[in-house]
Amino acid sequence: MKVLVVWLVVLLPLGWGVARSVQKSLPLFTGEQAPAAQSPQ
Amino acid sequence: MRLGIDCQRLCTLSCGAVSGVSGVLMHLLTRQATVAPEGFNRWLVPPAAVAVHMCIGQVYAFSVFNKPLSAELGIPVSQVNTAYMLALVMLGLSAAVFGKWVERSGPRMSIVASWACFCGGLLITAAGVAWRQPWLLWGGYGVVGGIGLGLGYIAPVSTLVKWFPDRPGMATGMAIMGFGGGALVGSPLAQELMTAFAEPSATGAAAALVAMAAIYTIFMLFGAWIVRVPPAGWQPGVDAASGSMATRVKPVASVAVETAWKTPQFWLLWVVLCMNVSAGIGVLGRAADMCQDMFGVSVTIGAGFTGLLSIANMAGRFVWSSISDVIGRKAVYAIYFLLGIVLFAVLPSLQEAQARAAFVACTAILISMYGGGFATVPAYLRDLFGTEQIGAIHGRLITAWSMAAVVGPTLINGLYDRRVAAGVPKGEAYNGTFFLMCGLLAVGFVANLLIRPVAARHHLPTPPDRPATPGSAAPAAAEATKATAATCEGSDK
Repeated sequence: MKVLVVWLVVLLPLGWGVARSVQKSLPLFTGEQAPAAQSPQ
Repeated sequence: MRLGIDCQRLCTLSCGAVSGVSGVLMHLLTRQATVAPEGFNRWLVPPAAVAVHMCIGQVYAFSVFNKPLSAELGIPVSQVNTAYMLALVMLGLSAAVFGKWVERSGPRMSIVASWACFCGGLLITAAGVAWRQPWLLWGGYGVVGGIGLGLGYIAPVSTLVKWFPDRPGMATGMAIMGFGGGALVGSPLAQELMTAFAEPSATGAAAALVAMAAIYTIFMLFGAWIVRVPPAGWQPGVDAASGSMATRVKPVASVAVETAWKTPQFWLLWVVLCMNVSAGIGVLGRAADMCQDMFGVSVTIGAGFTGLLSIANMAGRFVWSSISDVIGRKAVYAIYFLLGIVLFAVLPSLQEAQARAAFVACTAILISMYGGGFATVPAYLRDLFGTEQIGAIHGRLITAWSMAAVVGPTLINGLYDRRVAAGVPKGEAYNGTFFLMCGLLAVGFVANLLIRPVAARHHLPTPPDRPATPGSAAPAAAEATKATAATCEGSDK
C-alpha cells in the first residue's frame, strides 16, 4: 500500500506532463500544412 | 540585575535548543540515518529518485522562459539562454567535484543540498527578474541552480544502482526517465503559472519561478524523506520472499574514483557518452525549426514534433536501459550507434521524398536512443567499476554531457548556418548536419568497441562484511573481472 501511494505521488505529475505533451503533438498527425511561403518576384 | 540574569539564561537555553534541533536535523541527513531497516521494500527507492529527477529535469524546459525573461530583463534571448548553458556546464562540473562528497554524505544530505541550490537558484532568478538584474539570472539559475542539478542527478542514481544490483539498467532507467519527464512537467507548469500570474505590465515569470520553487520543494524533500541506502552486505533476495533473485546477482569488484578516471575504460566511456549526446542534442535543439524547414509545416506542428520527441526521450530512458540488463551494455550502445548512423543517413532522402511520417518515426527512435544513452551509462559504469564509488565516478563522467551540450549544438548550428549562407535551401541545409552526426556516432561506436573489463589490479580490496564475494580479495577480484566481462558483453543471453 505504501509503495503504491509513493509511486502515485510521482506518477501523477509525470502522467499530467505526458498527457499535455501528447495533446501538444496531436496536430502532427492531422496533416495540417503551413501556408506556402511567397516566392520572390 | 535579575532581569539580566534571566535574559542570559533564556539566551543560553534558546541557543542550546537551536543547536539541539539543528543537531537532530543534521543527524537525520547523515548516511547512517538513511540505512534501511530490516524488511524495507526497495521499490520505495525509485519513486524517491524519480521525484528528485522530475524536478531538476525542469532544466530541459528552460526555453519556455526565454522570451518572458528576455522581455523582463531587457536582454536578447541568446543571453537568457546563457543561463541554460551555464546550468548544464555546472551540472557536469559540480557532479565531478562533489561526487566523492555525495558518496560520503549519503543520498539524503545530497538531495537536500541539491534542493537548496536548485530551488535557491529559481528564487535568485525571480529576484533578478524583479530587480531587473540579468547577472542574478546567470548566477542564480546558471551557477547555483546548476550545482543543484549535478548533486541531484548523481545521488539518487548511485543509490538505485546499489539497491538493484540484479537490474541496474532498469533501476537507473527509472530515475533518469524522471529527468526526461521533468521537461514534460516543467514546460506546461511554467506556462500555466505565467498565464495565471501575468499582469499588463509583467509576464508573470518572477511569480511563476517562486511558485515552481515551492512546488519543487515539496517533491524534492519528499524524495529526501523516503530515500534509503541498503545496509552493508545487503543482497536482493535476502529480504525478499523468494531467494532465487540472489543467485542472479554477479559480484562486481569496485574501483576507486582516483584510479577509475585514469583508466582507458573511463575515457572511452566518456567519448561514448559525449558522442551519443552530441548527436541527439543536435536534433532536439532544432526539432521545431527542422520540421518546419524540411516539410513546410506550421509552427503548431513544429511544436507538436518537439512534444513527441520529448515523450520518445523519456520512454527511451526506461526501455533501452532495461533492454541493456538483458543483452548487455556494450551491445545496447552498439545498437544506439549503428542504428543511429543508419537512421541519420536516411533522413535526407525522407526529406526529399517528403515522407513526414517516416521522418517523425526515425527521429523519435533517434531521440529514444539519446535518452537511452544517458540511462544506460550508470549501469555500464557499475559493470566496469563496481558500486562503491559509482556516484563519484558517474559525476566525473557526466562532464561529457556538459561538453556535448556546448560542443554539439555549436558544431551543428555552425554547419547549418554556413550551408544556409552558401545558398543551400533551408530544408536541405540540415543534410550536412545529419552526416556530421553519422561521423560522431561512428567515433562513439569505435570507442564502445574498444572498452574492455578493468584489470583486477585496479580493484579495491573486498570489504570483509560483504558476503557475496567470499574468499580473499584477489580471487574475488578475479571472479568479479570475469563477471564484468560477461555483463559488458551480455552474458544474460
